[in-house]
Amino acid sequence: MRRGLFIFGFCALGWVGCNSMQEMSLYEVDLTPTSEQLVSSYPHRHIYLDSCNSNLFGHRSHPCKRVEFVKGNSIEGEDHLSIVWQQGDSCRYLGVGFPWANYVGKNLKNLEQIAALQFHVRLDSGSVSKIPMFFSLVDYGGRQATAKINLLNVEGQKLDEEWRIVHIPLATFRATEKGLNLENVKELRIEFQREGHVHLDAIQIVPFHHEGTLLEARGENVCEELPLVMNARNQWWGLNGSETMGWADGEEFLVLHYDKTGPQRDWNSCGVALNKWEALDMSDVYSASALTFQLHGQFSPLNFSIWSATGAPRQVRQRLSRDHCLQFEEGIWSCAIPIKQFDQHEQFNWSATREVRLTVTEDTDATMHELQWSEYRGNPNKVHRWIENHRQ
Amino acid sequence: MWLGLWMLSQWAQGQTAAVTLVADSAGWSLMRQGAQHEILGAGAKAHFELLEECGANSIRLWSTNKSALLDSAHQRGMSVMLGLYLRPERTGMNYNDVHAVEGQLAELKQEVLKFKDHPALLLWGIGNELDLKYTNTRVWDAVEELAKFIHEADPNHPTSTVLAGIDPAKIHMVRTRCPNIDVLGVNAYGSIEKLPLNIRRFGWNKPYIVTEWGVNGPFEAPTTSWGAKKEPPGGAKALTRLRRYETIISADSSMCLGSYCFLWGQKQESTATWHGLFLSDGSATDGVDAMHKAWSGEWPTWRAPSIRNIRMNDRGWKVEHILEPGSEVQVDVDLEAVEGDIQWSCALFPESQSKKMGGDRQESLEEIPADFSPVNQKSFVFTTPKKSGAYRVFVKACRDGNHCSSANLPFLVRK
Repeated sequence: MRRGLFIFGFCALGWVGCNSMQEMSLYEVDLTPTSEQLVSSYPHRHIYLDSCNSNLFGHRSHPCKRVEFVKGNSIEGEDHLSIVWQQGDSCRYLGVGFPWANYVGKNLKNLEQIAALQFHVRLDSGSVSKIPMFFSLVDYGGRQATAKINLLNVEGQKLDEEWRIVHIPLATFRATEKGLNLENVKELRIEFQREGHVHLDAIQIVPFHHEGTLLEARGENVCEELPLVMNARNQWWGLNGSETMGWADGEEFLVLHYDKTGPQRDWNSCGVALNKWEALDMSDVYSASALTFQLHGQFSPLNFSIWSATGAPRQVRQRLSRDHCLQFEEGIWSCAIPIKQFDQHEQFNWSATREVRLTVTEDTDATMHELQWSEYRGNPNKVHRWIENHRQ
Repeated sequence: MWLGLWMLSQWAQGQTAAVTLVADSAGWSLMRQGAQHEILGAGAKAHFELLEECGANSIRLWSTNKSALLDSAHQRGMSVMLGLYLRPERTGMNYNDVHAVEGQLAELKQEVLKFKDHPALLLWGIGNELDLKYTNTRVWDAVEELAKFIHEADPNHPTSTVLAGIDPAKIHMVRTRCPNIDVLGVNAYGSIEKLPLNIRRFGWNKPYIVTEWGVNGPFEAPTTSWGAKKEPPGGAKALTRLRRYETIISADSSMCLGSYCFLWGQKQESTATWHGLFLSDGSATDGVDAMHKAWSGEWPTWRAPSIRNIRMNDRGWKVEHILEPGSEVQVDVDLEAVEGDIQWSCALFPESQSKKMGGDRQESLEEIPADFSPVNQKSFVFTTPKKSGAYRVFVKACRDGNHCSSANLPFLVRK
C-alpha cells in the first residue's frame, strides 16, 4: 500500500512538473555581448601604456614644453608621462599626440555611448579644480572633436598629488556634431594651454555609463492663437508712473504724457514682452495679424517696433499714421497696424519674436487702451475698411 | 577667553576685508573695511605701478587662472573683482546638458572656496558676456546656482554677473532668475552713452558697475567698403575716455559703484591698438594720461604726445582710401603740442581678417617691410605694396620712448 502511494506520488509530481516546464530550444542562448564585454574586448583599447609600448608624438624638447618618461611611481608599464608647459606668444599650440595601435584607423562608433577615455593624472604639488588641457580625437580626414575634463568624472572630484582616475565619456566629444568620423579615428591629441605640470599614465578606453541628461529647450513656445493681450504690467519696461508713460492708477490703459522739452524727455520708449522675455514663434500667425488698440485723446504718431531674440534685422518698424486709425467719437481712435506693413517683415525672424516696443517722439497727451496682437484678415493697405468691419 | 576670541575675530575680519552694499538716500555704496570704496578700476594684468600712480584702486580679473595677480593687487593695496569663468554658449557650451553644467559649477565652487578669504577680493564676477549671441536662457540658472552658493560659502563678498551691454530682456532675466546677484556688471562701449538711463528704464533696481568701457569697439565702428574698421586716432580716443568717465560713470553716483576701464594692457582686437591703453612694446599711451586725469583729477606732469587726426593724401581717417599698387602716398598727423623731442615711427600691416567676437582672442599680425621717409615732423611718404589687398598703416609718436600715441588708417590696394 505504502509502495503504491509512493509510485502514485512520484508519477503525479512528474506530471505536474512536466506541465509546468516551458519548451525551449537547445540552441536559444543570448550571445549578444554586454556593453562591458564589447568595450573590454575592443582590440585597440590601450592608448598609452609606457614609452616602449606606445606611439607618441610631440614629446621632443621645446622651449615651452618638456615631456619626460618617468620610471618611478607609475600606474602601468615601465614609465609614465610627465609634461611641463608654459604657453607664450612664440608657442600658441602645445600638445602631444597618440596615434595608438600603430596608426591603424580605429572604429569607436559602437563604443560611443558605452565607453570613456580613462587615464590617471596627478600633479607635482598642490590641488586644482581644473587643468588647462583639452582632449581631441582626430580622424583620417583631419577633422577633430574636443572634450575636456569634467570634475564630476574625476576620482574624488579633485586633482592633486595623488593619482586620480579620470573619465572622459566618448559621447562628450560630440563627434557627429563636429563632423568627426568615429569609424576611422587616427589619433588622440592632448592640447595644453596657459601653464602647468601633470603626470599622466594608463590612457585607455574603458566601459563607462555616461549620465548625459539633456533638458528640453526652455521657452520655445509657438503662438497658435490670437489675440495676444499685452496688459501684464510686470512684462513692461520703460514706464515711470504717469510722468511720461505709465499705467493709469487701477486701470488697464497706458498713459502717454510726453513733453519732448521736459525733464523726463528721455523716457520716451517702453516695451512689453510677448512670452516672459523668451522667444515666441509667431511664424504661423504673423502674416495675417496686426497690432490693434484704441487711442483716447490727442492723436500721436507713435513709432512701433517688434523685436526678435535672434537674427537680422533684429527689429522691424512702423510709424503710426492716421491711415491706421479711424475716429469714431471725438478723441477716440480705433487703430490697427498690419504686420505686413512693418518694413523688412519678410527678413525678420518671426520664430524668435520677443517684444513689442513703442516710442513717442512728439508731444503727446493720450491714453492707449486694449493693446493686443490680433488676427487681421484683410487688405493691409485698407486698414480703415477692416476697422469698420471689426468695430464692436 | 572671550577677549581672545574677540581678537581672533578682529584679525579674521582684517584678513578677509568684508565687503558690503549699503543703500541710503544718496543711493548705493560699496563698503570695504568700513569705508566707502568707489571702484576706480581697470582690466589689468600688468603695469601695476603706473596704475597705482594714476590713482586706481581696483583691478578686474576675468577668471581665476592667474591667481598670482590677486597677490600683486594686494601688495599695492588694490582690490580685485574676481571672475568665475562660465563657458559662454557661443563657445559650444550647452546649458541643457546637465552633466556639463554641473561639472562646470563643481569646478567653480572649488575656486570660490579657494579664494574667498583672499584679502584683495572685492566681489565675484560670475561669467563674462554669457548673453552675447546666446539663445538658451538656462544659463541664468547656472549663474544663480553659483551666486547662491557664494552667499552661503562667502557672506563677505557680493556677487555680480557681467552682461555685454543691456536690453530689457537681459535685465529681466537677471532680475527674476538670479535673485542672488547683488550687483550688475555691464560691459558698455558705444552703448555707455545711454547706460544710466537704460539701467533705470529697463528696470534694474540694484547697483551696477561698468565692468568694461572705453572707446567704441570695433564691432560698433564704421567700416570701409572692403570691411576694414575705421579706428579713431589715439588722441581722439583719449578724449572720449575722459568725457565718458566724467559725464557718465562718475556722474551716476547713486547707482554706479565705479568702473573698470578696458584695457590696462594691450591686445589684438581688429587692430593692435584699439582697446589697449598700452602699445605692444609696453609703452603707455595718451589714454593712460586720460585715465590719470579721470581718477586723480589732474593730468600727469609728464604727458605723452597725442595724435588728434591722421590723413592720407590730405584725406582724413573717416573716408575710404583706395590706392594703386606701388604708388607713393603721404601720411600727415595732427599732434597736440607737448614739450620735448618726439620720436616717430611707422609700420605697415595686412588687414585683420578675424571674425572673432566678444573680446575672444585674436592672433597678432606680421608686419610688412616698408620704407617710410619723413617729409617734415608730422608727415611721411611711403610706397604702397605691389600686391593688391587690404592693408593698414600705423603711425606712432613717442616722447622718451615710452609715452606714446598712435593712429592708423586702413587702405585698399587695387589696380
